[in-house]
Amino acid sequence: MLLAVVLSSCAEMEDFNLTTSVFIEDPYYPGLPVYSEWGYNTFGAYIDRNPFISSDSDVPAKIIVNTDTLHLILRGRMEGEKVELKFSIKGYSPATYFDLTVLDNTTINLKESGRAVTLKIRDQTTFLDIIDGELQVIRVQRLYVDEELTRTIMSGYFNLKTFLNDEPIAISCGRFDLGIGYENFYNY
Amino acid sequence: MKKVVFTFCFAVLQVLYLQAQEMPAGAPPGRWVSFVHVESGLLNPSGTIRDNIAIRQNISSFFVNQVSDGEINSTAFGIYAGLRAEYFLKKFKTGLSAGLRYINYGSEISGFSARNADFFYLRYSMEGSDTRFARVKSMSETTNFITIPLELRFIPIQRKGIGLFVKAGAELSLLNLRHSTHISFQDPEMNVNEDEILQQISTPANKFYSTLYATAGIKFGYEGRVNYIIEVFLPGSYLTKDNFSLTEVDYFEGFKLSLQIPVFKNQNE
Repeated sequence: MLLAVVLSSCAEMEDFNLTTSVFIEDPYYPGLPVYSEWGYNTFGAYIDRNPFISSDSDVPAKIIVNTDTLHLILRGRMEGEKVELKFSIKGYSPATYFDLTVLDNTTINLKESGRAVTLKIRDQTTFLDIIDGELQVIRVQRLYVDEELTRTIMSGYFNLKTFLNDEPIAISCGRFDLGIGYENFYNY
Repeated sequence: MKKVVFTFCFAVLQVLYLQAQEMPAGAPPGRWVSFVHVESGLLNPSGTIRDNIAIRQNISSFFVNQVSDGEINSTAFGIYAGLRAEYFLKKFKTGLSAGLRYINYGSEISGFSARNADFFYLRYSMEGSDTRFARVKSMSETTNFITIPLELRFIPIQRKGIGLFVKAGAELSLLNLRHSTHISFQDPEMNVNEDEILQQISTPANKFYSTLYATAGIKFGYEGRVNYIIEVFLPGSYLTKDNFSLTEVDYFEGFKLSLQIPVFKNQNE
């Protein structure tokens, strides 16, 4: 019984190397990772002029599906502080991470109803009033490693204008290249 | 094939060496002399991994900051041996030579995706929403040619058994003996897919091979005796494209060691 549990756990984590982050800096957007579709587990955006990027220590992304809403949480650092950006998208409820392909080549207008974005800096969470913005999922790939279906790679861009502390700000040049698998996909 | 070529070279070397030993030292002066060169050396082609070989974390093509344990390396080398006959005009200190050369090229892509892994991820398919990676330990390629080298040598400085020379050369393949590409998978069960994966990722290598090069070297030995030659290739260029299916090669360097054996019977003609 114990052996079965251990073997099962190993199988889930067989490709741990694909869950770690590979940060390759964009030569045109200093401080941000390059846009890629390799499942490098990185993201980045400028919050005004400060780079908000994924880190080695935090799991960069989690996808949580509750009933009919998909939450994409990007967790990283900005000037050393913990920052979390959360997109909530109603109308998408993939049962498994392989079903995320429904988002392939999809542009989501963040100003439409059923969309919400929150920004958490340290312990302070702000529900963002979106002036303008979109989340663009360029590509979702089901990844086979040595002919075994392993995880899903989701890549795309995001931009938005909003208010923070009563001041308009822009979250710009956002890009993500995320591997979504057993360890960061939740449906409950 | 390698054994046959080396045995042949060795036999010819022995015969010529004995013949040279039998000739009187300081052979009679003439307008020109002829030599046989027995040569061997190494070539170091320089280039990058082909764009259609998609390797995760292969970012060497442009300058970026990277945070990753992974490392991918591409190496290529060539080894060769040959025989050339040279006609050397003393007045102009210049010789023209041609012959046959056997070249064996090898190239390899190896690396690891993380410190705890002895493999890298090769992306070999992207169809619809499905992307396929293979865990690969290394990819290798070998090519063998018989070529005809043509070389023009100029020896401007010759003092007391030491001569400095420069050379311009070109070579053209006569025979393409064998070309093979191989993938070493981390999971042996992937071996059955090797041909299919190679078909998808590799560029067919050119059946012909041709180079243009220049060398500079030094020779040791007196006239009428066997001379020992060391020469270095200046960056040479490949005239034919797609000489390798895994790497895009820009130029090559290398060195050559050779014996220059005088053939006296021509001097009296």
